[in-house]
Amino acid sequence: MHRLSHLNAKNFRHQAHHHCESGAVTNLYNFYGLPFSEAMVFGLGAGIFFAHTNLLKTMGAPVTTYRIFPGKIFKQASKSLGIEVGTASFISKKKALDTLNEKLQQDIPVGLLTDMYYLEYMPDIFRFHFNAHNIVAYGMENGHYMVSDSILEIPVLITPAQLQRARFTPGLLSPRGKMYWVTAMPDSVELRPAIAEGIRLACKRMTTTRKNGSGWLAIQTLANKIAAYPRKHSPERAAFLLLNVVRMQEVVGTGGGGFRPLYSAFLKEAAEVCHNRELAAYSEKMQDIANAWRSFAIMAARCAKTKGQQSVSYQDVSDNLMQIAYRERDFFTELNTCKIV
Amino acid sequence: MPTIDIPSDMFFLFIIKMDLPMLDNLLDDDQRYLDLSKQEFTAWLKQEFDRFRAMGDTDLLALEGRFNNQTEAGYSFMGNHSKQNMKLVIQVNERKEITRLTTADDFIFNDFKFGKLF
Repeated sequence: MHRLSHLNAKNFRHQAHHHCESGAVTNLYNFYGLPFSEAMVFGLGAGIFFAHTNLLKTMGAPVTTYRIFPGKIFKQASKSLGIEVGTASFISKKKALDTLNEKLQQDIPVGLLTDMYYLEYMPDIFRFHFNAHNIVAYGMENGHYMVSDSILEIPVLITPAQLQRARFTPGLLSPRGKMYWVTAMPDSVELRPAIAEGIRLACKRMTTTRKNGSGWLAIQTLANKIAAYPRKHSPERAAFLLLNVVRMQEVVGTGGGGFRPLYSAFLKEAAEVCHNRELAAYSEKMQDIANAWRSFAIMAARCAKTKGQQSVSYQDVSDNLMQIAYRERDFFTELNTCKIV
Repeated sequence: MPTIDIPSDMFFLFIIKMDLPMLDNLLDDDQRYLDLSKQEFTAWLKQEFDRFRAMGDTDLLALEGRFNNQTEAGYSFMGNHSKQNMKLVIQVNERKEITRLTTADDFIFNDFKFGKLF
């Protein structure tokens, strides 16, 4: 392992990516000399996932997520690559600020969890309460923090007051100033076992038989719920709920297709790294599934727009999603048996 | 009153992604946009998206700015590589509902605080 005292955080290179956490982690790894793509980081971090829960709400609708929970990608990818990391959350705002400043003074870029609503560099139209938006702070300039937000084309500046507000939004799911950083890098990185570990973990999560609102079973559950929307809700509420599923899949930081195209890209890269043709075939299968998700989104949007009264009914949408659930069950069950290294 | 009866974040994002099938799905069949029928409007969008793609743009950037001799505020778009403007301008109210779609030749994007946009 080697410590990282020779680097200058001002040389941090901002690159735009599809998704905030895998994008932030990719930029951090790139800074430390690991030239990984976003897709590779996403796969190493076992980012692919599905969950649907009434327990949490976004914009007044149950949360539907196509990726693993915030922080897990960084943790898993770093663990499997042997990268030493630090993380911290805070009750004291002052301590959070002091710790961030201390890291930046040591030329250590820091990943931060923020509420997107308070990031005033964002165009107003995109600012909504989302407590798990990842950014990287990598320096100070004229009293402002230099920030790399990987969903933007360019790095931006933010005032300390604005950043503090975004890090300490009130409520149950407050980021509480959560920050993460790299403390030491291994002398060499073993990519193949890390790929295998990331794939195994993703398969395990997606094929779980525990009815905990995750994995392919949760896709099945959502399909059943969609079929029941017209019976259980007003036409407006049913359309709103369905449109929100589309939003979570196509709009909220996934790059479209609920991260499935990104996972397909990971499997393609993994096939090359591991010289494994079977993985290349799985990449193509995943892309087919991504296309199915895309068709589902178009169908669901049409259904929501016409409130299920015209060419596409809620039952049609549900049937379509049920097929995807079975395809994902089969895909991850088979992928789990693939000999990777 | 909102002009477009779809969530504005989705409308913006699908323009940013130049995602014509989703836009086509979400626009109303019987509503006019930029004084065009839905069919004509989506054909115009397709022409614009093709133009940006031909210049190497993979996404559009949605940015705030001013137009109409700097008297009005709104959002417009530019290619992420070409930095060429799209003529479409969108205005939203404080509830983030889309209130107006228009075009403007004199739209000027607000300054960014950091980074080289141009």
